[in-house]
Amino acid sequence: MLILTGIIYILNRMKKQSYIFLLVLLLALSACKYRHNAFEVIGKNRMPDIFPVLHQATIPPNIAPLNFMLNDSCNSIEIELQTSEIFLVESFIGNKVKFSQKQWREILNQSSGDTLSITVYAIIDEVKHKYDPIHLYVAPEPIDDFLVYRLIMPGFQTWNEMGIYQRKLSTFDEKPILNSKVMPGTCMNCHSFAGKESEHMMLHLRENFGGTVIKTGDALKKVHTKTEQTFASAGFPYWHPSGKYIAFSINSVRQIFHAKGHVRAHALDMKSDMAIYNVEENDFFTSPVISSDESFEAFPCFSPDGETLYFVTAPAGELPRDQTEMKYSLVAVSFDPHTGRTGSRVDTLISARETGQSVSIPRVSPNGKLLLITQFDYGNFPAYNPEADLYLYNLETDDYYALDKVNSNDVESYHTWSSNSRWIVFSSRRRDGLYMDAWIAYIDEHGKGHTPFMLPQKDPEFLKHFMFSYNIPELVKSEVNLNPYDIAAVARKTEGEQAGYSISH
Amino acid sequence: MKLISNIIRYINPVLVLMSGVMLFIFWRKYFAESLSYREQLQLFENTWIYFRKHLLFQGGLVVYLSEFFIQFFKFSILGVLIASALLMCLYYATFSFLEQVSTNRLNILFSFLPVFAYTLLLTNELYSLAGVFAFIITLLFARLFVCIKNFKKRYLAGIVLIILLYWFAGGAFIILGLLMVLSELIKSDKNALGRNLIFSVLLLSGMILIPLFARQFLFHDTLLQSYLSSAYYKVPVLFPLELKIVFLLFPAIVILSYLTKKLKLLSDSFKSLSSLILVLLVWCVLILATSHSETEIARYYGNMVYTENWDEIIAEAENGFPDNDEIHLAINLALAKQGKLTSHFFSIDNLKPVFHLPYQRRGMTPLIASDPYYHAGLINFSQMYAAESVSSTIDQKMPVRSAIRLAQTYVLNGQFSIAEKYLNKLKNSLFYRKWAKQTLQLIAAGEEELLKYDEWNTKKQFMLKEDFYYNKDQLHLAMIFLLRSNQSNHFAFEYLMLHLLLEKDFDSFLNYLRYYRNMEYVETPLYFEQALAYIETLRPGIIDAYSFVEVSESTIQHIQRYAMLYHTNNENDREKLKAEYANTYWYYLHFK
Repeated sequence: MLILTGIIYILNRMKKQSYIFLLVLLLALSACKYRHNAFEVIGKNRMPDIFPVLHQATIPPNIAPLNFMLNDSCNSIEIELQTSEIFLVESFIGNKVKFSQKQWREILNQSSGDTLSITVYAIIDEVKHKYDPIHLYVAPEPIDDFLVYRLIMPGFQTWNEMGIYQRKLSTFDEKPILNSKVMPGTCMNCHSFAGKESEHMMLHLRENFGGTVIKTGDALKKVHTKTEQTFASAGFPYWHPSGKYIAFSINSVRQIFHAKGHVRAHALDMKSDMAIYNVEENDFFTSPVISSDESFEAFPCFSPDGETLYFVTAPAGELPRDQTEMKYSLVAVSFDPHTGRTGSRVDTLISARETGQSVSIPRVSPNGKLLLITQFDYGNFPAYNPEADLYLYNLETDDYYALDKVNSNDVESYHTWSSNSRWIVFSSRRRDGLYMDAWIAYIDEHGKGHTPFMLPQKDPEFLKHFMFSYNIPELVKSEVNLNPYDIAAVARKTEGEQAGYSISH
Repeated sequence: MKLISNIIRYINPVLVLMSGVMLFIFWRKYFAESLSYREQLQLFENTWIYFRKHLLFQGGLVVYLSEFFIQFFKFSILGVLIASALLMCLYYATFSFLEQVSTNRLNILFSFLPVFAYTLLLTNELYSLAGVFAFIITLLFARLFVCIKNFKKRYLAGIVLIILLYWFAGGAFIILGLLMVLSELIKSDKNALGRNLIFSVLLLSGMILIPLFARQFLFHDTLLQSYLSSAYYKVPVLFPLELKIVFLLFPAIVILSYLTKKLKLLSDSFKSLSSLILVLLVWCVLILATSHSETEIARYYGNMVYTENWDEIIAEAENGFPDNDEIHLAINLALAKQGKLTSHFFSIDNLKPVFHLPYQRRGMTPLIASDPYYHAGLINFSQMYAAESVSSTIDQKMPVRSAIRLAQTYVLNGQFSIAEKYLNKLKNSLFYRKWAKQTLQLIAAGEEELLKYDEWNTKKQFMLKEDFYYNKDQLHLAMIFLLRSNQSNHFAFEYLMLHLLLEKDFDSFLNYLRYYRNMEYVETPLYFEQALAYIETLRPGIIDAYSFVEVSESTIQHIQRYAMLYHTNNENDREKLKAEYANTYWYYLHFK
């Protein structure tokens, strides 16, 4: 009461200018980072309970600040950040640690190939609670500059808001490539790039102004991929590294919804074939090797030299009756980039009959040595299979193993390689079983996966409130120079070219 | 004469008071439930982050203001009061501006035109209350503009106000620009005409360029929305004619006011009195010519389901209702909740057995769609429909009713971290804070603590023990699964048995009567008695075989009389049959 009376007295005696001075002073003080001189230090002898988890993660030297928060409440946090070259102490008000981008960049520049230790002190009532240090390993190899993903609510059948965004990985900058604001009522999905280059891009639009938008250099065109010979529009794509072809699977997808349990739905591929689209000639080509009535073929992927086409296949079945019996094998067929034709012999790399498991989403590392897949109990859409894990197939040695350090008890699904073959970004539901997050993991020269970390956010609490999933992460080397209005204009104002179709026997 | 002169003298407060009362009656009588429903379609968070989010898009401030007030619509009387008061504020703002530009006794009448127009628009849920705020702010800005005497300052203020209004209120900046131009042209002397024309051209050019600039550098949106914003109409690809008319109404009344002042054909007293009479006449016509729309009645039933006023639903249904699936669903749900589905279904005229709303690809999934699943114990399907509602809202807002349901289903499923996401949002609201905080505390304490509370324990007990896939055409099978999981699930039993009776599937009906004892009915459900009495006529001995279902002597006598009337070909007896037995299961069996 006495203090309050004193403040009022001082304020009454102050002139207008003094008020302004006081205000500026208060603002300046509040802008300063909080410094706290604690009296006592108590060792907790355990790791801090932080979000997102970071301990022992391997991180790229060009990643945005790995801000984090203590899940326990505290007045402030003090951290000691240490490498072989650096030692610095920083304080933060509240329970969040937010590094300045400039400072973080300097730290990483000096820590390449080094271990970064962060010791956290939670300050509660003038007592410092010291936790065991968090260790981060800064790999020397950078990750590609941009990550492209779709943000969508993890719904069931309907949607009202979604968007394809690109995020600069060294900062928190996110830009829309296309979203529901610009194209309301249009579903957008399956963004894909040729050889990690943002110059060649495609994405599908469904519902309003539907079609497939293809960007080659500065040119944009809209294509209708449903032909008289195919039972649906083109689905999951993979660009040929030359940018001349796109391999597609054509799927008839149906969802089923569970009455009980945490796995609320499954997507069933009722039927699937594959076809290769010639971008210049606007023509599909297929052959019985990749499009057969006796089997389902899906999720194509070209090798980096463009001479092999990988995909997954399973004998045709009746769904949903045979749902749990549908197990896909990983196979390969040769591809001639000059003629755009596939070979006639199919090699089986991973046989579902032998493993008793199903594989999906094959992706070859840009150096052509490793093939990353998702393996799970059945089907070819792993998004709702909690047992789905990432596996590596060594194309040189034919070794095949799970990425134990990368995997979790929940879904690991879609994935993408960095152009230097050292980083992967994958989607995972491990945080809560529902929301897909983008996770980043290091793959060393021996093909070993290291502890991953989540796509960093400016506000570490952001994902706790964010109602969208990170869908189909795709790494690209440079920014996608595409204005959302340009895509919308092509989609809205052009009729779209009808693709042709031919079959070889 | 003195009375008339007094009326003329106090015409404005008199009209405001009377119009306020008329508006109150109009909303209260015909649209109170629809207003209340608006509250369920949003989740207003009292946080700085939520406010900041709204400041980041054009029109966001008025959207924020409308959401703030709409949260009080949870109590329909407050909704009615706020809507009425806001519309009267719109009148005052319009009148005040008109008086500044052109003093005219008819301004009272003209100022009511936007109020009439927007009142009618607001009866449609697609039009936003934010529009009222936008128009009020526009008129205040316009008034501020005309009050500035120095033309340089006025022009500068005009440009600043236009930019501010564009960001705060979206499309209303067009109205402001037009009002500024008109006021300049009307108020200025002849010498300033050239200057004003240049200002007008510059202003109008700026108005065209501002949204183009903003959509290129500040946000991404459609061309239409870049100009209009989401503050007026929920469907982002449309600018309805009615709204265009309202937009044009503001400059139109300025011109009207100016012209009628110039004409000087009518006396001031006549103008005042005729304004009073006309305004009151319009209100009377609005009140007398409006009737309860089907949507309003559906909202009434939907709101009662939301507040779980089951008895009130049943009582209301007995007075008749329109043929609407949401209403049928609400009544069936209320009957099942009260254990009356198998004893009252046929006594409610024209009630259809709508036990769920089938999924529709187009349009918003009704908020009520998840309710029957939730009360039955089909938690995943309830979650699915609540999520579908969230994902199908036209304005991409989070409906609070669905957020609560999603939180409940995730809590029941033990997915606490997902439930927290919704509960943390609800914790920031005014009216759901307490419940959200309590639930957060419970889940933090763990499932054991949660199960100490009836709200959760009862629902947990009814949850499924076996899995199956959703099939909208086989809902009765879901009820069988529910009964296999918990043989005391009264709700599932009621739904299943009525379904079997309606399907005239007596074998299954008799089969599932095995769960009857678990239900502990105080009285035998009437249609069970009637069904058994009827089956007895086909298969003698059934009543004895199912003696645990008591069939009263009166039912036996009734079926005998029914049989007698049914077997005669006499027209009079057929009429008697209908009059006496239209509400029985037997009548349904033979005639429906």
